[in-house]
Amino acid sequence: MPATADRVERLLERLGRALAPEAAPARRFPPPRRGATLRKHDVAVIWLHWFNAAVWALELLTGGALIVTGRYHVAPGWFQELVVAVFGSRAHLLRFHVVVGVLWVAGMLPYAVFGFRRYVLGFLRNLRLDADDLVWLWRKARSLVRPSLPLPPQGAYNAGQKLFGWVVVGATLVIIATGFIMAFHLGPQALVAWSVPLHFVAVAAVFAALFVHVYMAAFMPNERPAFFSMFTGKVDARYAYHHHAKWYHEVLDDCLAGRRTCDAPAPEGPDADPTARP
Amino acid sequence: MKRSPTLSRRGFLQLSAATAAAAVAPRSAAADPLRRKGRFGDREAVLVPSICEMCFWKCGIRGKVVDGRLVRLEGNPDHPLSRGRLCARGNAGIDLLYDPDRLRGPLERVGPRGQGRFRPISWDEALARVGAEFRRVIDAYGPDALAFFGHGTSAKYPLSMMEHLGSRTVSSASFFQCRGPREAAYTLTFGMTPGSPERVDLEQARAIVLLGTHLGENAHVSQVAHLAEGLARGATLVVVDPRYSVVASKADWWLPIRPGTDTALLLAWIHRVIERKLYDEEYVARYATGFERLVEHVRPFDARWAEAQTGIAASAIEATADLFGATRPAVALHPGRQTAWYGNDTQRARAVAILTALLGAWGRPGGLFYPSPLQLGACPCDPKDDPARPLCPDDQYHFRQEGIPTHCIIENSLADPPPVRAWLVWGQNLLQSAPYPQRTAEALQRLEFVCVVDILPTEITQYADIVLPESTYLERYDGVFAERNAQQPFLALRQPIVPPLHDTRDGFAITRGILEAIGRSDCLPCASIEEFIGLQLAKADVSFDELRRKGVVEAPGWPFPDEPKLYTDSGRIELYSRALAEKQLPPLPTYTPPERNPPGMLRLIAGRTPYHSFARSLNNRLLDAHVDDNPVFVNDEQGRAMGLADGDRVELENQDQVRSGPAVVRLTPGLRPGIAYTWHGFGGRSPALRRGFNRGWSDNTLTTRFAVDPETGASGMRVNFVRLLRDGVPLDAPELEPPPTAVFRDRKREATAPPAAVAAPVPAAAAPPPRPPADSAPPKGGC
Amino acid sequence: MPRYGMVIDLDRCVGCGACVLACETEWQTPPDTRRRDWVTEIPAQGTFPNVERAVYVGLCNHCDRPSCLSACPTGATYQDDAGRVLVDEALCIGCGYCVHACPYHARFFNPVKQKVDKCTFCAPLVDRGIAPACTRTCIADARIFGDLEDPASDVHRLAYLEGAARLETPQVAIGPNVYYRGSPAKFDLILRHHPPDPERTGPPPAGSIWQRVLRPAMFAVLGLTFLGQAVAFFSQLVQGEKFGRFEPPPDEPDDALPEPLPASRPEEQDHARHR
Repeated sequence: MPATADRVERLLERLGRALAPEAAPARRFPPPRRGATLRKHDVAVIWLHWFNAAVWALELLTGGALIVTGRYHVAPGWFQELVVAVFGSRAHLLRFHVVVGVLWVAGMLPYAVFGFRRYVLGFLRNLRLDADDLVWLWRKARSLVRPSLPLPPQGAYNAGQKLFGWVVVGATLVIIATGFIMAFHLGPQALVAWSVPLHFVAVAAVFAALFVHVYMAAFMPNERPAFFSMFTGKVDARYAYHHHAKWYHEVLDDCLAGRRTCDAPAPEGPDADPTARP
Repeated sequence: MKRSPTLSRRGFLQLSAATAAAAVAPRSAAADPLRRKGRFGDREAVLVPSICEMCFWKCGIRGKVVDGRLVRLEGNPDHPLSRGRLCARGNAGIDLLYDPDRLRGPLERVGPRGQGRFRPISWDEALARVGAEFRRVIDAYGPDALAFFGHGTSAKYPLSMMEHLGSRTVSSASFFQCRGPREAAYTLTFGMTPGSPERVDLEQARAIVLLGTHLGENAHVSQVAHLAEGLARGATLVVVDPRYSVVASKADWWLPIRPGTDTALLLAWIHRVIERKLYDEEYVARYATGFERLVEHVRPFDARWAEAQTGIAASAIEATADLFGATRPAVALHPGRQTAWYGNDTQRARAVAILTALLGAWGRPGGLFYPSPLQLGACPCDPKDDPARPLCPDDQYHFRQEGIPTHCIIENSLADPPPVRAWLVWGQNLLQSAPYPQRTAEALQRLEFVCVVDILPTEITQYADIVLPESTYLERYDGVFAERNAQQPFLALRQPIVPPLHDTRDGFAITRGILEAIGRSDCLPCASIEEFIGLQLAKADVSFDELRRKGVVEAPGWPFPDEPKLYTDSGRIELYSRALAEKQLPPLPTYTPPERNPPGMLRLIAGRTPYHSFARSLNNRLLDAHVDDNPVFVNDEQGRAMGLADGDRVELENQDQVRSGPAVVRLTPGLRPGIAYTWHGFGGRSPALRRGFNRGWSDNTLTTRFAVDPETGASGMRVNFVRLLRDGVPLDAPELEPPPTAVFRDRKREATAPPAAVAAPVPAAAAPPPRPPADSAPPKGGC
Repeated sequence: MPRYGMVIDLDRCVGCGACVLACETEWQTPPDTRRRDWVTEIPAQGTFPNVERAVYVGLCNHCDRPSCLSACPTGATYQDDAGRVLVDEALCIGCGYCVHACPYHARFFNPVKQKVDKCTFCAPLVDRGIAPACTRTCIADARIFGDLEDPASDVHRLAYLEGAARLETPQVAIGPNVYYRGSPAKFDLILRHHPPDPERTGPPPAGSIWQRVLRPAMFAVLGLTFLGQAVAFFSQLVQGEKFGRFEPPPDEPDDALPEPLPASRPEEQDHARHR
């Protein structure tokens, strides 16, 4: 019933405002020309993303094959046998899983050490949920069953992506901590004992979320621009204007204020280069 | 009679074709190097056969050495007695070798005697000092002023030295605190001692009798194995012990005797055996003498009389005697080992010997067998077996062997003026082994010079002026052992498994060093132990190298000759002992009723735990992890009447107001009331033995009284009584005398009963007291 | 293939502990956690003089249906062809689930190796033709080891033909292959005082919660996610949302740029031209 829905929305708004106070509204810019792009991810971020993707793929494959017994196993027997055959023995498989896990941490450590402000704090800031996000989520869910009101503007990541981000951040910390505890037997036995299912739960949570993330990113044509942005680092500006409006306006605002590098707008005119960046 | 190895040891493997290929390769003299190769885990190891010395039983061992480090000790399967078996202490011998508290070099006392403060000195210095002091004492006061207390396989070299120096003031704890009474008794009766190991043919026995012997808790490996085999073959076991020992729990007859009354039981048995003509008439007629006098002597000692004395039901006394009659001559009456109990011990041991003779068991299968005539090459270094009658009142202890009574030397050190001025204590922790240690400590303070030879810094070392460190059994040679007291006699070699870790020497080298320092190296012409061994093997069929490789070499024996060989004066088994009569000692066994417990007190009796060798293993980390404390066991009903609960901590105070403790109380129904039982040797008092220091409580501290056996001078130590105190409050033990009793269990019928149905666990309400969690440390043994 | 088993002779055993010392020195288990095998005295029970005492000699039973195998998350613990239950140390992470899953308390965590440890029936020795350390050292010859399936072996005879008993209860009957022969009274004492623990046939709460709650929950979540994703996909199809590339709304001017975007400072310009 719309009245209830409305009430829910207002509740969510209030909650959202409590989570993240509304920022001063950015200046509103008009939509960009077709073909224009904005730089969203730098090389370091792109590398981190695909590094993670590769590690996750490897670790999921090997990890899935490591849990053997009927009580806890996740992968079917034939899969386990296949993977073990590739590695020669279960011992090698385990060793590989641990080594990759350690390399994973090693690979992310520079970001935490040298780029803490930008890559850690900055990233976390981008994940902050606000009132728009909560209402977005609510309306998006409703839209599955009936047409809904238009969605509130979103930041660099939409609410769904933010949720995924939180799941990944939280789960990553748990996975690393429990992984190290198990691999090197750090701490008392009770800790090791609980690390096993916690590791599994964290992984499973990310795996479930990955379903959506991979679908959205790679298969949802509507989101294709976002997908490309993870390769080129640049996102279609028009797409950004519509799907990540707050970010779009923030970027342009930054450009104006000189806080960010932006290109000069392409010259107008029929012989103008339609692919020139703004 | 050789027992073939049971399937439990190795046989199962021969059946498995797959594993047969990997079985131990056949040994041929040509193929094998001196040191055999083996494995430890996945590493190549050098295997060295030798002989254990964690106690005196001398089981065969094999040491595994990897990269110069001893990693494992296991039994030597070639050893005819132990056959690869090895008890907990033997397995734990590695820790003795690497004990961080070991004596690492000679020490000289600094500060007052008894405080255990030393400074390290060189061997030359130490030996020079010892030699000088010994020389001085001998020159000033005569050789008898130098006393020697010895124990262990290397003690025979200094014993020989003493003999050559002219001193007769020697004492062996192993005789005077332990075997003495039975050695004298059997020598008087049969002309020879029952031997060590005791020559009881447990395997072929139809009846086995143990008086106070808690076989199994004393881990005399081969004897335990033989007992187990004998029982498996159907022997009937009679255990006479106020305590429900492990072996009592295997017995068909458990006679929970009143302490100190064993002789009465034996006399009643002899009475019954004679009365019912259960003895071997022909044997007695042919080989024994004094039978008529014996008959007369035992006439009043019937089962009824014995019941009143012993607390054992007369019917049981008669039934067991009848059993002996039915099973003779294969009745293995164990002569006992530690037989110095109440001061009338030779008489008791005589009764055992006499009963053995009556049943015709001496020299017969299932009874006692004969030693082998196996002889080693003579060496001028060998001490005579029979030292001359030495210093100590000559009208006493006529049947002593192995020197003079311990207490004589101690008293002679305290007399005014003292005939004894200096001590050499060798491998014997006098302050734990001899009773009345307080007196011993006094004597130690009076002496002019004390030299102690030991491996660990035990209590006695703390009183030394010079400490000479001996190498452990794992680092040295000892003279070849000729094992005559086995049905399969053999020669065995103790050899170094690893070279000495510290600046220690073997006993032979130490003795030679002392003699050289005195200027009497002529007493010990061999330059080294190796040379000595060479002389020993001069006429043997085996070379030194071969013996080094094999560890043991078998030799022939005739355990059961057709005719018993008797070496008594009369050439017969002396049921009536003329030798005793001549010395105005009872020629036939007399029974002296033990004194009653003083009101409220318990009789202190000590035994063994299989995890330790009394005091000497208390510092062993491996063994300590299993048993690190000695409880005091008290009858549960009596204890509860005293207000005690299992696990209470108490102090013990003896009849002379000496205290010891704290001790943990264990209440048990498996102990006759009136007794406080514990394991001897705990309560280490040497701070230099850091692990053993103050572990448990010392029973020896409370053994301030001892009863001297008139025939031998052995010290009976079960004559001390204790009162328990909790939080300083004395708890009086009520008088609790059970009616005459005995326990008989038809084990054979029990065994063939259909197997018990799978039992449901006892419901919580009726469950016994909670056991400690299975993962916890030492098992708290029951009584 | 042999099927190894052991028989403990309660009539012979004297409770001396030699077997424990042999095992711990052979396998170098730390002294304060030695647990590969154990000798536990059951003190005299009853009323003087009618008493009974026994010694519970135990070790891993290498059961027919070991409850510990399925508790292990990594498959480190397994049973070989000869029936021996073993731990592959390369795979063991020391989580201790299997320790909790043994009703006989036969497993333990070895703090030196940081792995779970237990009796292996001296597999490396036996495979080289040498009897287990505990068996060889026993001073009363109370331990008999061999192939249960071999009709000529003593263990076969004692276990299958002469009715040696198994330490089992109606609640826990997983087929232990260490049998006990000899005094039925002593065996009864052992069974009464040290029965297999029915609370210990599975992993500890960490593992059982994982098995019973977390795993099904995560499968449910995964399923729901998948389902949710499918519903979203179909709903978008049904609702006609353009299943194509992103397109800005048609009424949006194509090249409207009413306000020129601010120029950046020339030196900051990115010179790469996008083609």
